[in-house]
Amino acid sequence: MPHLSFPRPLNRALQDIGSNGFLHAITVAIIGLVLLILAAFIVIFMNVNRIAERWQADIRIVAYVKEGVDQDRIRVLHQRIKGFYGVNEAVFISADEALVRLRSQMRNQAGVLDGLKENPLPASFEISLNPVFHDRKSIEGLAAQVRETEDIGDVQYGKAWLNLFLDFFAFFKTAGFITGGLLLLVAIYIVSNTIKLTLFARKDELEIMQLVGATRYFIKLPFYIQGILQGLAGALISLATLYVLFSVFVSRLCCADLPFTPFRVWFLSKEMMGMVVLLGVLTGWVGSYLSLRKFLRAWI
Amino acid sequence: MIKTFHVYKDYGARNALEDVNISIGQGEFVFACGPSGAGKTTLLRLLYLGERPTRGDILIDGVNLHRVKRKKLPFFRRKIGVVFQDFKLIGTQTVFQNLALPLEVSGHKKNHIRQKVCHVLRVIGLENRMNSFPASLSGGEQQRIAIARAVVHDPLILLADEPTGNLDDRSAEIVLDLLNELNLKGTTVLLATHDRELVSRSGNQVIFLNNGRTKD
Ligand SMILES: Nc1ncnc2c1ncn2[C@@H]1O[C@H](COP(=O)(O)OP(=O)(O)OP(=O)(O)O)[C@@H](O)[C@H]1O
Ligand SMILES: [Mg+2]
Repeated sequence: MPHLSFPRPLNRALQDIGSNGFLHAITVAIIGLVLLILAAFIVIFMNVNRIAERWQADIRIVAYVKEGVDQDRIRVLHQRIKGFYGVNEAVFISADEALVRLRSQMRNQAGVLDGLKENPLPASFEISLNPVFHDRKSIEGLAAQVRETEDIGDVQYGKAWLNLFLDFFAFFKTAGFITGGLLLLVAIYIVSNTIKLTLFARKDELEIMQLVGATRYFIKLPFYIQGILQGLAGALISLATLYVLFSVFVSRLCCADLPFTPFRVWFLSKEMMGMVVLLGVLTGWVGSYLSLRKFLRAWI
Repeated sequence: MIKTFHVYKDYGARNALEDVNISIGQGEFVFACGPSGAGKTTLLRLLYLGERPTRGDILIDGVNLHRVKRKKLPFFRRKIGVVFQDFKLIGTQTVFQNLALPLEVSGHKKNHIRQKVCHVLRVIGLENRMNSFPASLSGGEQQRIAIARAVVHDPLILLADEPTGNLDDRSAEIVLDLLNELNLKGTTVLLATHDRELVSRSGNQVIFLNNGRTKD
């Protein structure tokens, strides 16, 4: 006789999976695919987020001082700007310094500047922000505040394309999570259907079990285990696949000599991997729960 | 031990049981006798709470079955052993696994289960078939397995629906002896049968059923 090496509910679950291997394999594959897509989304978001953060960290607010403001008032102005909430540093750039900078930036064409009788450039403050204030709202808020300040003419900050990018990214993120959520629902539906098929195949047996005094818990447990095992297997497969894809992709990326600053591409953190596994298990559990709830409701 | 008060069971317009009043004391061995369609199976089904009566009250071991809620149902059923008319053996499991089930559901240890199952198999004389599947057994053998499963967990009450229906006289005799033996050990037995001869031979108390009604 088959020796029960596992606790009985687990043993039953494994028997079911074994006797209906193809169906369960497909279910696991679908869960795996859904989680793979989801996890890939997360990897992409995480890395893009990191890049965007870096770009944002470089953002400075440049506040131009109105013409004819004298040294004393500039000093007062400097102190005031430094005192604004969220300002990390404010560097004063005099009109002369600005010209020197421009010259060095123009290099060969610097000659056109020689013809100037007067320095046309305004003095300015270059304001960098505390890391916590690198988000767009804070930057805009601070810029507005600086603009209101006496003796300040114009204020410039950020890069239009970065804002555009962030808008797009936010949209992409929302769309990604909605899609991911829908895919998870599909996975749950598929698990619940697989379990339902097993349930119907064992209908008589389950009825007999409850006639001889099995509790609902006793009857349900193997099916919960099945669902959870499916979710677990799907999650592990998705992580493994993602890791392989990731390795291939990153090795390509590094050879490609990308124009922007070199950065590390990150894989999922341990916590994130744990989340994916948890999501898989949860999918399996909810799937079994739904089919069991419907199925067992028919009984006395 | 078993008492019913004005019990009715309707299936749509059809009354399977009408105003059934019975009383069976602890340790008694009672027959429920009646022709096909009389309501014997229906009566037993109400007693193990396979269904609820349309009207009336049933007391078992001092408990009104109306008060047995869904959560308590499994524990109630463990006090009772049922030999189903259609056996209700699990076809995908071996004889051993079938017999182990009533013990497993109440969480007995593997060793204990093995001992108990081997013991009842010996009593019904089928210990050499414990790894067979029910479909490979004869009707009479299946019936004996069904009886074994009904008693393997030492129930307080045994409800047996035509337990000799598929047996020749000799085997029927053996089954009756087995049930008598259980009865002597204190199990209350209610045996449903259409076989008047079997009833008169035993000389036990009889409840006659016809068209869903009891008569004397
Ligand atoms: N689930 C059901 N739905 C509808 N009618 C039913 C149901 N169960 C039993 N009946 C009817 O109730 C009546 C009694 O049936 P029951 O099975 O109790 O008879 P019985 O005495 O056990 O007969 P038998 O000796 O043939 O087993 C029958 O007329 C039957 O058709
Ligand atoms: Mg019957």
